[in-house]
Amino acid sequence: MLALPAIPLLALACVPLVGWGLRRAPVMAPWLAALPAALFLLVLTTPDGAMFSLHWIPTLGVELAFRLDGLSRLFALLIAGIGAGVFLYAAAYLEGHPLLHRFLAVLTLFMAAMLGAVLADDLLLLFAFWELTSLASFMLIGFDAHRAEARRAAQQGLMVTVAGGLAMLAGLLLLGDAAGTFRISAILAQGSTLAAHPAAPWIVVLIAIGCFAKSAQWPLHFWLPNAMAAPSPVSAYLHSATMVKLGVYLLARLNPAFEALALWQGLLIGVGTATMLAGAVLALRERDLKRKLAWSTVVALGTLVALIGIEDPLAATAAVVFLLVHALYKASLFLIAGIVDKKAGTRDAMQLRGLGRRMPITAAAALLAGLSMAGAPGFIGAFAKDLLFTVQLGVPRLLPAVALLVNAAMVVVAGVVAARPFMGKPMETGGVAKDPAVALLVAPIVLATLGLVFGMAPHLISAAIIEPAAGAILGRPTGIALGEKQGGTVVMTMSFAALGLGLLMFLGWRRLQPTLAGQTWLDTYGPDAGYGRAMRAVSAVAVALTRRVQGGSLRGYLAANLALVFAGAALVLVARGGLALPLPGPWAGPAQLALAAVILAGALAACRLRALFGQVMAAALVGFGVGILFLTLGAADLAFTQFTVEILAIVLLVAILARLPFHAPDARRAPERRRDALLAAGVGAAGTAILLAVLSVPFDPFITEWMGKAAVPEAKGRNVVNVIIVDFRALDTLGEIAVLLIAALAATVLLRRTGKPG
Amino acid sequence: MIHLPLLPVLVPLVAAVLQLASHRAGIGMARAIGLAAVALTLLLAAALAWATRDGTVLAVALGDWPAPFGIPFAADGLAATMVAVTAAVALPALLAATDGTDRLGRHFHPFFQFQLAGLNGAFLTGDLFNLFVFFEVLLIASYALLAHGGGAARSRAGLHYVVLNLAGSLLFLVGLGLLYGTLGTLNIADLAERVAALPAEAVPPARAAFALLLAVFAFKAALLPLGFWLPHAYGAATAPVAALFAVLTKVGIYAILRLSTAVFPAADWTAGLLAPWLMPVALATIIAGTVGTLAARRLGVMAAHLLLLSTGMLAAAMAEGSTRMLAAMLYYLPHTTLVSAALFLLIGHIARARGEAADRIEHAPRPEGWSAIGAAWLVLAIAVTGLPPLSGFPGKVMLLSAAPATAMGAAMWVVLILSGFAGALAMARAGSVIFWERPDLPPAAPAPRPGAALALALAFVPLLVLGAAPLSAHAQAVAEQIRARQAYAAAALPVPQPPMRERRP
Repeated sequence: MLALPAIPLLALACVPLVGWGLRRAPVMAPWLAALPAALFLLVLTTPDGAMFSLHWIPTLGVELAFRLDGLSRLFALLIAGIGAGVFLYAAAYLEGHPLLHRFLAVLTLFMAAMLGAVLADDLLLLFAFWELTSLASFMLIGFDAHRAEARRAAQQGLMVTVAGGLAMLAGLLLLGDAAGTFRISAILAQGSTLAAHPAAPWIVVLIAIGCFAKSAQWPLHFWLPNAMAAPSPVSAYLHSATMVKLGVYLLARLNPAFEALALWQGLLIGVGTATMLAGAVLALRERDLKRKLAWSTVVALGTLVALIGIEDPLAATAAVVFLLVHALYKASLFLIAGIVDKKAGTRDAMQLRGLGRRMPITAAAALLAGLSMAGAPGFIGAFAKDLLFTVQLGVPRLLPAVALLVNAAMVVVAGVVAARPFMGKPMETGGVAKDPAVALLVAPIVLATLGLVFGMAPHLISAAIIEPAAGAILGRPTGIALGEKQGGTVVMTMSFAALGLGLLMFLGWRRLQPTLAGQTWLDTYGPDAGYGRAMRAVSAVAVALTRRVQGGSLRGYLAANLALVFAGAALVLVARGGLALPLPGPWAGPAQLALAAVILAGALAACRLRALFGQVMAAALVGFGVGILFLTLGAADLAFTQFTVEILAIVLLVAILARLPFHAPDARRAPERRRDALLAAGVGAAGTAILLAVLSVPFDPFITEWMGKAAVPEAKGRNVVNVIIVDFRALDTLGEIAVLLIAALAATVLLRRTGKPG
Repeated sequence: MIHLPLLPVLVPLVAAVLQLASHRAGIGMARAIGLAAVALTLLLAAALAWATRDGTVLAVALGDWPAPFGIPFAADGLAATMVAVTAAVALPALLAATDGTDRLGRHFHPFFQFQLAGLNGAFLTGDLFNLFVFFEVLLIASYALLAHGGGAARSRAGLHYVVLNLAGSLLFLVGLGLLYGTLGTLNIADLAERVAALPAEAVPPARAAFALLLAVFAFKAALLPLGFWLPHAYGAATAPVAALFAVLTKVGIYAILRLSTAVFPAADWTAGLLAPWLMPVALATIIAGTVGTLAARRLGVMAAHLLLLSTGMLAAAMAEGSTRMLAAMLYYLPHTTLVSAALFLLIGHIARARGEAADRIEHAPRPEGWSAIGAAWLVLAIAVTGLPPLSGFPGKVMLLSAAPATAMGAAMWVVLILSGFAGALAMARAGSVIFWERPDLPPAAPAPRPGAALALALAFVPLLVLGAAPLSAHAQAVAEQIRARQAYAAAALPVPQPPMRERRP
């Protein structure tokens, strides 16, 4: 079954071709619409239940697995179908733009990722495509990167969805762990047993966060209106018809596994309802056409989420129908808003008036889409609305009231966006407002007309599209055909009440809007402002913390390191009762003690002396003292080596000091000096304690003895130290020679550069 | 080819000497020798990986002196992996340096080769004292490389780097002395036998000696609170050097991993040496790296903090220590090293193209041809933050799914996920400032085309994701091998108590 994986992968493979080809031949751009059209046919002809899988990372159990069922078919058809219209529109909308090829390449990438996400049958594969859509969205919102608001919106959208995505990843991993597989079909086959798993609440909450962020649910909804900074085709395609529905898709996809959980239902219905309300109020408040549409998209997404949370065949059917309806009219309205913006030079709904006479075709398309949105009889929107009211009446408490208010608000939005700009006296426009080229009109007209066609002939999609998709959400067949009369007189009454209330509010919108817009606290304390504050706070805290940790003072670093390392080692020693003194032996005679005193004096002098020359001499005292100590203990060869090294070091140091004007002023104040002295004493004491403890246990002379015995017969050398250095452990010596060579080289490089005599 | 494990050290050493000897022949000769040596080392690394793929451990006794008296070199799956990663980073780094960076100061090429010799030696030796020697080689070479190119920031960072690392070396030496005093050996495989047989009264000082040594390794790995030195040193280095330095922190990680798998499981008193402190320290390092990434005002410093963050992740995986987690770590390690190196190279390229603004995260005139570099930035941003579909994602998933269902495991999840988010935030913020145009700024000179080195470095990223299946299987095999211990011990210490030999052959 190769057609199935070909759907997303073919689109993915086209991305570089599009970028490369259209750069050379931008006139070919409209033909790109053939790709989604072909994919549409491919989706349509692929049978239900088609599967494909290929191992990707076997150790993780991640597979390149795809599966097509009713739900994914609905989404794939929307993605490819609306994609075809949007590609056609975009090619005309951005005609002549120098970066058109890049725009369309990213749009193709987005489409591929969307198709991949809805067809994936592996949770992690789905996640991969999911994040890819976020990324494409980021690039498309930021397409007009010279505008600061576009840059900000792009980043905000990415951050909200990526943050949600990471929470979701955690949830998906937990889910995979609980189910023992990442295959979605296998997880769904386990029925509702997963809902009883102890990790189920975590899984549900984490995955829901990801879906809510993606599908702009309250309180993560704020990024969506800001994303309207993107060109209109992007708003139509990503931010109303497809990408923002991906969260809805995953919730619907996993619904059969978790529907039994009260938490799942509560979360979805609660957050969905809150989103509907918030979106409705904010939609009424908005003047910008596209942002107004975005708020109404928020309302629609909230409705869908709440519908999935309601476990009922009617709710599942309502969700599917509404999803389809919304995708059709909203994409169409966004495309029309783009045309209006281009032709009238503004998107301010207060100013836009009377365009109908000059742009009759646009106005007609807008009217069709608007009627579907308002749920006028004869349009498929009417079915959706009836289903919605029926379902929402079934859930007591808040929902019916919310539904009434929200639907009325949608009528207002439909009126303000689809009717008001075209009615009344013609406005003054900057440019010549007239109907645009055919390429820009095809998609909105077709999409809007489909709303009427499906409304007149619901059987076209009922059994083929709606029922299988709703069945997948529910986990069993719904047995509800589209077009059957739903609800009774109550629903009818409510429907008319909503329409009437909406019309009233529409007529008073000119006065209502300023009142609502005057509620500035909605902005000041809203999540959008909160996002800005949080970002600034993160930066400030990060900078402050980093400055603290990396103060930049070498002495501070050194002190901290030494103190920590020795305190740690000493703590390990003391905590385990390891403090011990070695037994007195021949190594502690009067001569040795006297030498020890000399060495100590040398060390102290090196600390106290200010002149570098004196410090070198004091250090030499330590070295020679140690050498003589070796001599008194019978290690003549070691002592000899020590003397040689010491003499060499002193000669070299003195030679350098004589030629280079080194000054070492001590900038420390008295308290700092005291602190340093304390630290040095502490480190010395800790080191001494550990050393004494080491000396108090008997030494294992196995290796030493072997070397002593093997030196003459095996290595033919009488001086064991020499034999060790040049034979037994010759590699160490080679390494040290290399160190000396590198050090000498580095010194010449540094000295040459500073221009001092070398 | 029984001497195969020695060659990754010898080849760069010989190359360095040849470069020094021929330094009058001009930089072209040094480049040719260097690139040939690195390419050869890459082949050798591949040969090593091939030879050790079935669990074989290749061992050589230097001078044919038997262990534990002489120095053994032992290449198991872990060592071979580390050598391969080093070579894979070195090749693009060296190629990138030939764009003229290597002319900024003298003797860049020999230093580079010495650094490689030190790194490979550290990974291959089976003796702790010899490890110290190779640490010295790589440290002194890295100091010279860090100072390469000059400038006040570099000198200051270089001074910090060298002073702190010399202190670290001193502590290393002290720790080795103490360890030798208590255990009577520094051969890694032999240490395992001695810790198991150590009399109870000798345990406390031996434990303190190990503690000192581990602290030194933690310092080399730049784990908090010992890692302050890293970001500014790496941020100040030239791009090819910083790229190579991405391997440097892994040496400390490697040393802890080697001790914790080859030695510590041998006795009860060593088995718990890492447990109480490594996980908190690792998580704190991740947090510090994350915070620093968000605070960075220069790309170089940001990348250095991302490196710190990834080191913390490796340490966290090591602290958890299950075979599954080690496998995840061994998959993540090559990925993060290569991606960090590529990021440093890319940042070097960006800084050159932007001229005055260098790598500061601020608006500046956009050079033409900027979008190819922007695309490269995007790819690396995805890879470095562990977003799908690039190689960081399987790594992150492996780490997350190997985490146990304990409070520690939950802490790992939270820290890993939040750090991933912060990384994405920082990369997106920096990228949108640097790559998105500002029409109010005049256009700048055309950007130089991303070099072959950059392309090569970037090529590793998709390579790693396509190779996710074999690489993760390899990581699993290596994790099982180092957990099993016997293979390494048997090869590095062939006869536990060798008798006096009659004659040298």
